[in-house]
Amino acid sequence: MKIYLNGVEIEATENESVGTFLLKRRQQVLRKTRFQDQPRGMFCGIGVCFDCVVTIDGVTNQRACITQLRSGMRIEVTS
Amino acid sequence: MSRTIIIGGGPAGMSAAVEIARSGGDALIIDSNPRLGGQYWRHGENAQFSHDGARFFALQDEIDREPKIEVRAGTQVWRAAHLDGVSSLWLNDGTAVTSDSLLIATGAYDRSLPFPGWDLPGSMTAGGAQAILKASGALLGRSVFIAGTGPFLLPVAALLVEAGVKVLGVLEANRVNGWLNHLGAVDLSKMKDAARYFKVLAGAKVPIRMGYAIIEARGNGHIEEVVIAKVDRNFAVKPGTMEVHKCDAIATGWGFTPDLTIAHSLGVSTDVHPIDRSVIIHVDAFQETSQRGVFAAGESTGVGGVDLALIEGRVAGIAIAVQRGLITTIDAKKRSVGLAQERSKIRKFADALLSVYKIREGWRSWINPQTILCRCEEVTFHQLRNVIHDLGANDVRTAKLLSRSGMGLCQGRVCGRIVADVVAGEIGIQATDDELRGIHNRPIAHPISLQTLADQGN
Repeated sequence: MKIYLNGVEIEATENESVGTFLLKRRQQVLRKTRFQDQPRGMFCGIGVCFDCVVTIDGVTNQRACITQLRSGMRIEVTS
Repeated sequence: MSRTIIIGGGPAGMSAAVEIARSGGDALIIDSNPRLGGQYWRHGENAQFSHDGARFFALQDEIDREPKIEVRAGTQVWRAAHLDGVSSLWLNDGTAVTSDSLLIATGAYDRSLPFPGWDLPGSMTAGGAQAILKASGALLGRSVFIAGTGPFLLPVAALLVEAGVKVLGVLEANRVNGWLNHLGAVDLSKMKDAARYFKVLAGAKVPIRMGYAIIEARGNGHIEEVVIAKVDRNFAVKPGTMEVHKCDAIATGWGFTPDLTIAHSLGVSTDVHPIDRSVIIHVDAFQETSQRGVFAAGESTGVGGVDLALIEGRVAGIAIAVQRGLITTIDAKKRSVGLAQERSKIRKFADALLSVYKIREGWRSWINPQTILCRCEEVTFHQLRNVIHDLGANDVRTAKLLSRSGMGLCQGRVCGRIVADVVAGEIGIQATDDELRGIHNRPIAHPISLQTLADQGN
């Protein structure tokens, strides 16, 4: 299936979270913080800490670690 | 009484569901993960376990075959309330469910301690490192340090080694003598597990260093090196023992925090654990909470591991069946033989572990004024100190309101206890039981869209 990462079409597999998919592509940094503009990635990995939040299909603050990849998904990360 | 709703499909929730179904009752399991198993049996599409998979498959098969059990996976409870004996749960799929029979089996998550650089990409919790590997084979890094305290560091290290990660060291902050004997105190299977982990780690020549901690992580945009140091019995850094090592990721874990968000919303009574001061759900011998019809089992009633969670789930399931009139108390007694004794034995062992792997307050010597304490709102130690000493915040709640610590997206799940302990430490007192309980007060358990809110308002 195909997904879009920052607008670029890429091949992805099902049954994977957005977070682990990106980590396997060596995308450790998922966002920059609001105040200090510092990079953040997955921390707790289980939906508790909200550090890995990205924009998915236009909706902000979605936890990459617990959101399953879907065909056609549009993911925006900042790095 | 109506269909039992089970919040959490980990070991406790699964074993309770099976007991209820065996009694002829129906149950609905709600879990935020896409699959059953909880954190302990977290798995990907094709479940494979290096060990201890048999118990999972037995439960999973029975749940699959049992038409009386419905599973709603990938579903979150964003709000919960208990009124006139009925619990209502609002779900993120826009629906709501109610029942006068409920089991809270929400588990626990890693407890974290801050240090400079703990917010850098590449820094994960021990449970997180394990979770991403179990769920999809993702590796947090190629060369990593594992640090913190507790027996849980061992299986995480062994799993990473087996997955091909270069584990540069396992740093246990507490000085634990006779680790293996200690773990063997409960039964032979624990001893065998521990021996297996040690064998894997020894085979990969992974150093296990007692009385060491990661006190800083550094790097440009992601972790490139760590500073480790010897710590004393109170976790204070021993001067002159610092070492700098290159690595690309770290996993740290300091025991677990029971997830009390839903329990708090349902208004059940809680206890503050005498050893680690974690907030846990108060239950009676039948795992029933202070609210009639609301039961709780597993880590949310006190961290004790998979064996305890399975037993508590069974006890709760049987008690629920009695309360619903599905079986007689005589049947229940027959099915409960030995459970209470086993539960009390494992709880004693869990408490012994908590004492040995206690978090000592000297960890505060690792942080500096610029260290982030609240990751969401980026509140530093300096800022928190300011609201305490300059603005006169002399309790946890005021310090939170003035500094915004704990008021970000995670609602204090990660920093709540950290901030409470720092505030108390600065003032020179201990956080009160009610201050610790207050950390878990999150009326909206998970963020939802305004659309969902609008739909459910109708």
